[in-house]
Amino acid sequence: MTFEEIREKYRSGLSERIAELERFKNQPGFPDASALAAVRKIAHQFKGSGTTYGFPELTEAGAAVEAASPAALTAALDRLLSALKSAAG
Amino acid sequence: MKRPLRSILLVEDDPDIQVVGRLALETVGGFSVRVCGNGREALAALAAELPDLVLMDVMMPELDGPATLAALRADSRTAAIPVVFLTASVDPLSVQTLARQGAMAVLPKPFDPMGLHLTLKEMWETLGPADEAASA
Repeated sequence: MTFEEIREKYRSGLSERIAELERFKNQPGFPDASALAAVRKIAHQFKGSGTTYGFPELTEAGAAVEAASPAALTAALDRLLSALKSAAG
Repeated sequence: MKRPLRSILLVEDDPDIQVVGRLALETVGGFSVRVCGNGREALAALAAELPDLVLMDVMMPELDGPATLAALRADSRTAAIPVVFLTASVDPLSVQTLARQGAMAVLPKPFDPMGLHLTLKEMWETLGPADEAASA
């Protein structure tokens, strides 16, 4: 596979990750401890993979979610979701 | 004189990094690559075959990178295998801690898939083990 092919596969897989993050965000009581850990883990992965695949905005937004306090998490998560939707096209 | 870097065990739990890591190391870099999803899988893979280098994530389920490195160093068969960490958490304290634990180097994620092999080759030239056959 070429880099362009795996980049397209990564991009096409973003809609699934968007749905996963939105499920967490829409849970009653969000962010409880388990949702917080799960969302931070996903954000950490985007921090590492975004720029690697040519999407630096995902690295930046993922890093912000990973570093956000629980009080600031929803706003940071909204920015990550927006970046993901933009990248997914 | 260094022995050439030919084989790499990539230990990484994120499937997206597994895919791009294999491309970067195998297709672009020309290395022989095996991929494991966590430290426990890596220890099992190392029981079957030893690579020249282990390239490993830090945060992983079941057995994380530092615990895997400790297990490698505690086993005489794997104690000398150079380990490079590939991590999205490259603050100076973390890097120092990993170096003290015996990591050869720490590389940041994100990385350039077209340049990772060159970074590793340069690192190997500087920090890699000497060719025992050549020095004997």
